[in-house]
Amino acid sequence: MNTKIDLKNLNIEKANKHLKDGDFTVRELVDAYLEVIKEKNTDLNAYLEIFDKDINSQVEIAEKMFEDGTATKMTGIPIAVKDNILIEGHIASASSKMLGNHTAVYDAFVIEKLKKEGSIFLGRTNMDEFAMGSSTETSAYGVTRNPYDRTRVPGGSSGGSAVAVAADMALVSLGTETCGSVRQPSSFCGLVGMKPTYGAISRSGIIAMGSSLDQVGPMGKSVSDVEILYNTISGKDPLDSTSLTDEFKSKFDKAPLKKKIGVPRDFLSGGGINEEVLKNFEESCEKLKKAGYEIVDVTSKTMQYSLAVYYIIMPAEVSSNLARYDGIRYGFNIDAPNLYDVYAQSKGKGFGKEVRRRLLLGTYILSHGYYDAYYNKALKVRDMIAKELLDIFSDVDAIISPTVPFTAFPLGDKMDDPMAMYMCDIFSAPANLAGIPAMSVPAGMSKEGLPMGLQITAPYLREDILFTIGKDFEKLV
Amino acid sequence: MEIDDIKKLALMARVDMDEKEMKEIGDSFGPILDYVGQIKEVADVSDSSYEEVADEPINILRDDVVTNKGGEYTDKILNQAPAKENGYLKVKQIL
Repeated sequence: MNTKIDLKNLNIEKANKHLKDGDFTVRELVDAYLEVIKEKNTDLNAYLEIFDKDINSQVEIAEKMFEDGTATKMTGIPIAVKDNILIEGHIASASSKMLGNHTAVYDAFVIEKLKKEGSIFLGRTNMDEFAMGSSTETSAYGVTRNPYDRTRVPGGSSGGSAVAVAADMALVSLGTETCGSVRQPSSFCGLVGMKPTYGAISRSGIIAMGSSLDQVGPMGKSVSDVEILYNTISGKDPLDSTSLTDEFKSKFDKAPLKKKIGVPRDFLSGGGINEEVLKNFEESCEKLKKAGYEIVDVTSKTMQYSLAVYYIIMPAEVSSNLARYDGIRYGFNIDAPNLYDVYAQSKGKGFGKEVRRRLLLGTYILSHGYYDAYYNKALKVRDMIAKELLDIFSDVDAIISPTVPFTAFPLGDKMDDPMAMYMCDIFSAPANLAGIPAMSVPAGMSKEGLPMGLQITAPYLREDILFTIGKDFEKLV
Repeated sequence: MEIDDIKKLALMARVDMDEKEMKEIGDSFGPILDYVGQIKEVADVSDSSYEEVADEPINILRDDVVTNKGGEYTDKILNQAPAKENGYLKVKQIL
């Protein structure tokens, strides 16, 4: 039966229609994905664990919803979930040894929402440890490989969630972003991936990294799939005070599109874009022109400082957020003779190298004497970036750029040079700092057969603009 | 960055590490701090505030009341703890 399901060309709408029409059952759909997982996962290492124990009960719930007519678009849809999103009763390790034995005691808000729809969680996916990385190589559980070229990285930190969808091991997936961790692997793996407005989706039950930046992001093969998943998981949650109410959202007018898109040329010129990616980007601009969009240059004086600001604010927040992993309440523990050594040895042995680096960097940035020069200054520049973007958006509907300055790089290429790794996120940082939505859409393939992505950034709470432009662009690639 | 400074940071962050790693981290701080230090060249603006920004921070308050039943999650949470005794987390002697 499974051979008849064309996973490659499947999307949520089609799957839903087939399930409703009885062309295949939820069981058959899930089995088709499990079969691909069995075949490919040992090599690609997208999933750290398949939820063998409760997939059956999840399938039963979904099938019952189809029988009694309560099924929705997301019912029975197989999803891959990043390992930093809590699902009650399952390990959530953030791909760290620190949380290798940590079983979630409650569901994340996004999981609760999807459970109500009867979606199927196939398993948890590999990621950079505590989401700190751009290649999924800092995971304590091995690297994940790019399905387009197995000697290359899938991007990160949500690399496992990207590969799961790109290699037909799930229909859609959930990732998280602090700075590019959904968009960058989506670009490297030929997917659509979105970082929504800060506050659009609750972070309750998401293992925190940089709390003023973190957001959950949907990933899929099409803009429509990402839109459906986004609509399902967004909403106000009393357990995350930064999540936005409908009343608040309604204050932002949904002005009709001017069909005018800005290109921040000066910002792009400092990004170290490789020639092929730049050429592809120019072609994308031409395609959008053909689709009726006016493409104009916009000037920015502050966007070029985004990544520098990010690498101050993020480690500062990391050093306080990760203080909770102390070997006392849960997670990895070393039984040392006194309390200080329990803390220090549990952290020293439980955290990997990049996490330890950022903990120390954050501690330095927040220390007396440097706090003003780095942290306070960064907050001010962050504010300036957000304001400048607001100005730019008074003239254009959206800003476009390549998602990443280059294509997927070879495994190990940047592991000894943290600064080179950090540069992956140069174009991602403005959206996270300003709290605005941005999405990566597939923009074509390089000569080496590697995917490239177009990043669209929209004003605050204007995800609708991303979907509109994304769908127009999708038709032309 | 000098290894003595890294030692102090590791002590403050409560992260045990060997000297080899301290040196590696110290070396990697140079390029990172150079890069992030470029924000110092941005001219300060005196009126910098969130007021004109779309997501102006607003206070979210709730009543200071217990919302779950006593002991509702105690067992689940304590089951995650490496050491416990009589319904409490157990830590090493502090004084």
